[in-house]
Amino acid sequence: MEKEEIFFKELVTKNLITVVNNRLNLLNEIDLTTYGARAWAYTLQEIGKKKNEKFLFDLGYLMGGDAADELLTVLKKKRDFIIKKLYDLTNIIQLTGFGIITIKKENNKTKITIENNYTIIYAKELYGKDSKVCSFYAGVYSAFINKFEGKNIKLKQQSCICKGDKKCIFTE
Amino acid sequence: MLFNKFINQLILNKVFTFDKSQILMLDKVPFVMFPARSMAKFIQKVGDEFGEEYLYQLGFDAGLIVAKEFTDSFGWVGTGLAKRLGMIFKMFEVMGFGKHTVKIWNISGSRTLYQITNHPVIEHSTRLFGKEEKICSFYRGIESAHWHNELGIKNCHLIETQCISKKRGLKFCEWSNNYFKNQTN
Repeated sequence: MEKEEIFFKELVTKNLITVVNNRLNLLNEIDLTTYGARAWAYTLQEIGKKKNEKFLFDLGYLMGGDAADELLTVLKKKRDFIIKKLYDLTNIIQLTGFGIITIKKENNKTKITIENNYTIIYAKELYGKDSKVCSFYAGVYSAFINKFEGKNIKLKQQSCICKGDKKCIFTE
Repeated sequence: MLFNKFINQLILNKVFTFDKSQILMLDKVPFVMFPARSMAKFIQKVGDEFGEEYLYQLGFDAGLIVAKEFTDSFGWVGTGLAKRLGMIFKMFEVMGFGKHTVKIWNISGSRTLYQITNHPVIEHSTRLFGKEEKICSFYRGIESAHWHNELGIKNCHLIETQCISKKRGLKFCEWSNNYFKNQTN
């Protein structure tokens, strides 16, 4: 059995993903919804085309910031689930289909690497180097870093799967 | 309670599986998950920027992508209309789109009406934005695409007949593919 599959099953069986009043919940409190991964790539690309990539970044920042707020609020109440840093959350991020996230510090600056994010992979298939979806993820992770580490940074993309690189890399 | 057991079983029986960091519905259709409240904020901001007609169309076009993935993967063509509707509504519930209850079902007479409760994104948007919420337009677009594709009601455009955010105390949104006034009681 794959490591990720074991992890996912553990999350379900440990009631981290539950159903409360007919609703999918994370940690018993955060309402979850789902969206087709290809459709999500399409949605982000269309919005980026209609406006611009800064707007996509802002949308990601809004969404990531709100998700981080909810997570922080819920986790503070749970003694058996202590998260000290953003690094500890990468498994939960992976669980939501946002890919494998690696967070490192280089010269005291944060470097985020994204692999196996299927929205980005589908965006590459659909739009190639014209894909705009990574701007959204730059916003999401900028918000996460700022919320969890008390910073005020804006990530910039250094390499991109859609442009032919093996991984997406964002740095401060 | 029965439904809770049902959906728990669905999850545990691999409705969503995890394969190389990809969430797949029934091992085939790729999905992502979001906190519903953040999704409400995302949709509202897009609606504020471009308007509800744009939101509806964006939802329809995105919904059509998933709808085609469903038919390509699960091969529903050939099953009866009512059965397909039942399957779609179950899919919506599992996807976090709320519980759907048919109130009137008369496809040949173009008279259908259904209610949605427990839609987490719509409920969060009602709390956050009240009567100004625009989220329903987006989800009506998505569901219209499924009616168009899986039910074969071509170019179906669902209409909102009642909205949880517009009427105080209302517990559901009510949508129809052919609004027929004064005949819904």
